[in-house]
Amino acid sequence: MGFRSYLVKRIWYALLVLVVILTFNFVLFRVMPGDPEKMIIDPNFTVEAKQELRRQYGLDEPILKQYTNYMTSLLKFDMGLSFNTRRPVWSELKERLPNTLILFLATFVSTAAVGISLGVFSAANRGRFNEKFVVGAGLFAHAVPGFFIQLLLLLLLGYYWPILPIHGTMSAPPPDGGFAVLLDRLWHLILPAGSNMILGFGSWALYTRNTMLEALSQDYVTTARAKGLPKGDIMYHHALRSVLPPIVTLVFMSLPGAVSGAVITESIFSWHGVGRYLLDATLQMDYPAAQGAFYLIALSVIISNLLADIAYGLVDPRIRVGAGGPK
Amino acid sequence: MALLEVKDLKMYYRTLRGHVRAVDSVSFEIERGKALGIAGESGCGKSSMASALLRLLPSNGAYHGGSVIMDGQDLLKMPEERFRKEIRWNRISMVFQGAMNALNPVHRVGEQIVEAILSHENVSRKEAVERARELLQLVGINPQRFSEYPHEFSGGMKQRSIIAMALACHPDLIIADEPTTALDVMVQAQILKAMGELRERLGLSMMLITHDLSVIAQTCDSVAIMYAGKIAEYGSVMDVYTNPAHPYSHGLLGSFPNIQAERSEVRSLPGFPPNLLAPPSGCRFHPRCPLADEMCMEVEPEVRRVDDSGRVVACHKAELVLEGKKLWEPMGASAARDTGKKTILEVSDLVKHFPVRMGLLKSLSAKEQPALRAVDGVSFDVYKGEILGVVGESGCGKTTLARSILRLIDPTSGKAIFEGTDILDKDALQMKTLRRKMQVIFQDPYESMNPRMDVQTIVSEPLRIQGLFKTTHAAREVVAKVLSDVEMIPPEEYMGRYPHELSGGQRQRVAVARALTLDPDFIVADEPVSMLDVSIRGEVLNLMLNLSRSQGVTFVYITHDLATARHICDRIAVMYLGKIVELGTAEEVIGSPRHPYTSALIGAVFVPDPRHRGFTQLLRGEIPSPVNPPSGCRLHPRCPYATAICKEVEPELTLYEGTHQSACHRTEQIQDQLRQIG
Repeated sequence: MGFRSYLVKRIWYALLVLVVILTFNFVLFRVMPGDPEKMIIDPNFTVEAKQELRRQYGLDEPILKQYTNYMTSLLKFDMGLSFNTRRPVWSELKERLPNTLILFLATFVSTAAVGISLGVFSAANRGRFNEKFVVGAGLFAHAVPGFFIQLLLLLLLGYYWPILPIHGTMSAPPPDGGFAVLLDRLWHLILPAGSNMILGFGSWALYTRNTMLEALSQDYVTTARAKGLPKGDIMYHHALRSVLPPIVTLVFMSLPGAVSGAVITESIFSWHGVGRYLLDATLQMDYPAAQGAFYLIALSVIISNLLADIAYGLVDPRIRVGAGGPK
Repeated sequence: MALLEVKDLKMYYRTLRGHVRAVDSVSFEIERGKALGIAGESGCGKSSMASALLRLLPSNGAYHGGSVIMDGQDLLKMPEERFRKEIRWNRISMVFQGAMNALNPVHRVGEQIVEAILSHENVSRKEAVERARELLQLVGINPQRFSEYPHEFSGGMKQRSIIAMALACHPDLIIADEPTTALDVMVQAQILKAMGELRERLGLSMMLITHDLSVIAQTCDSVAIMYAGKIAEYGSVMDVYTNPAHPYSHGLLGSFPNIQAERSEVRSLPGFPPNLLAPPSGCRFHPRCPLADEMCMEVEPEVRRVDDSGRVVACHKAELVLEGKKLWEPMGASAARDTGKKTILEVSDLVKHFPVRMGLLKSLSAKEQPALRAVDGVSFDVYKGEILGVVGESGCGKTTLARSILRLIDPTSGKAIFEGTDILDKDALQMKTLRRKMQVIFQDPYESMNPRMDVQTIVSEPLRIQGLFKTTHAAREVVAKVLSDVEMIPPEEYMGRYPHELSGGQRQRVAVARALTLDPDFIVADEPVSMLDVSIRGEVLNLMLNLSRSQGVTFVYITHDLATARHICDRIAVMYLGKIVELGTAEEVIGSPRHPYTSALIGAVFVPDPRHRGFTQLLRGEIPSPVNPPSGCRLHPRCPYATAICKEVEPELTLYEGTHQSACHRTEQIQDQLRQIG
């Protein structure tokens, strides 16, 4: 099986999952408690007016028709009008998406960099204090509830020693000049992304450490040592390189979690992003808005899983160049 | 002057419970261009010593004295960075067990050789690549495969490329740690042959570490027999093998079946190596030694010369051993016997194909589902009370056959008539009753027992499953009886133990006892001794032999090891790629093989006797995939005698003299040729 057919298969699976999730999404919002009519249609309206509104929103159609309408419009990113703002949901999401992506990317890169390098570091220092410290800190950060650490950091660094901004994605009013805006943005990013990194690095560091320790006990690492390679080559070129496939998978598999974590982080730091939009929409029973945000999140989860598969294939020659067995 | 001189080397492992004295005052020399073999049971410190020489100790290992002298320098005192650059791979390289994991799966094979060259020599990458290609060529691998990954190589090719890698920086000494252990006999012979030729051509010294005494007999000049971290005996291969002076060497050599020797000559060497946390006082071998007296318990024997050969030995009683005092009980070999030819199991045209997984789209377009033809039309009878050996390389289908005739897996087609009824027609309930008569012993005594059950529960479990567990007392009696049958005496002592409290040999005895609980007529033993140390293999085989003699139990003994098969089997069936190619009594098959495959297998088996050296004609290549077996005679692409007919027509099993059957078109011509040569 070549890499191409592997890829094609993965894409098919991803599409299948997407359809299933969207169907769930459709059903979910129709069995949820609360009646959209009561939210958007004033009970004092006349029966005719109510009918008219139902027709506008397509709620008078048979359920199957509603389903197909829903699916086809999603394909066109047409998510309807928000009940609340009466603006198209997609344009509202579009405004917020870059913010979420920036936060997400910053979190992701910093967590991966810190977690993996600490993992390698602690594996190289097996049995010393350094290793125990990393493991302890990682476990602690992993075990403490996320919002607690985030609120604590907010309190400490935003209130008692107000060195970082406590909310928002940028200052209001924004500073002048392109570079100043960029700095201002990064300035706002430190606390949310940094706190996410502190929460997340532990599992990566531990996982990297464990797989590294296993790799270091493998025969091929002994071979590398016997060959008289320098220590760095043994550590990175042989040990880390051979455990990259599972680590990369873990990295990408943690993406969905990071997406859902965005809801909490964005709420705590008043981040103008998709996660907070989803929360607000759900609380206000703004169905089209919530559905749209869900769709976006589902899409990102599926894409990140697909990326995980592709990355796994790229780093593991056993997948890239045919599955096992002598030719 | 010797190339490498090891003096009084001590290497211990720190553990929570004290020092494990893995290498304890070991001294030996390796001459330029010569090969030294290090032999011993597992846990005797051989591999620890190999890593000690290259300073590759695990983090809890430490030197406690001694020196390793090369060119007048003590390697143990050399600064780490200098040792890494100048000694590792440049002077001393290592060949690991390649079938396992010695090649990094994520790097191209060629690159792993290049990397070794570049880290030691000031050459350009281009030159290094060029040399790596030459090295691959040298060990018999097409240099075109430079850029392939380890998983694309067969076991034998991996081992060859590891040898190429070891040669990369023109070392003086190669340490080979069990270089062929996980390989099939045929591939093992090919590899060792190639290694021997290369060594001669390049004038290399070698230290070969193995538990397999026959490999040392065939390839080494001198040998050190290690026991419990010490050298028991050290001398030229000829002296030690033909006239061992230490009771341990004597026992170890005797426990090794020799395919060319008389059948009664295998002895067993009871007991197992001591725990090196607290080794026995005096001579470490005394608890197992039949000659031990008070002196042996108290005084540690000096390493001394006992005769005018160069050999040294650490034993107070070496003179007695040399005099030829009888030390070890011979293991009763299976004499040719008439079992009455009452058929207990009649297998006819048994087929087991495993479907090969395909993607959804491909399976729609494929006309025929491809199958792995593990067992592809096999017929034979098993006679009551006999031991039938089924022999073949890995991938020949012998284990699938074993599982099919017990219906542990469902065969694709065919018949297996057990005592008059076809077991393949039985429903689940009938099968369960039938299992009272047919039992199995598995290869791995560690995996085949639930670690949370004690011996009594394990052995009585068949009673419980069959609903025959009446009272605890009655069950205990049955357990006591079968444990005594497998010579675990007194049984009470073992009943409460858990598997981890037993040695490997004891565990396999419990597995045999469990198979005996229901008093079966028929037992399939699938490689029952391949995971055990040589010294205790004899015990377990002996046990099977006695059970077959005294209780009339019928055994089907599945093995890759022709030598042991010859020693205990009444008849032997040889399998190749899902087919039986030869079948007859042990004497007929081993003594005068009719099939070229059998001859090649026998030729590939090493003899633990340095007086009989040399390789007979080996088959080319390795066993092909059973998914698309070759047409006609499945051996034809590897067979030196193959002609046109072999490619087209599949040969049938044909009866020759006696009970000897063989499936080969050319058997007459081959016999004629052999007669002319002989």
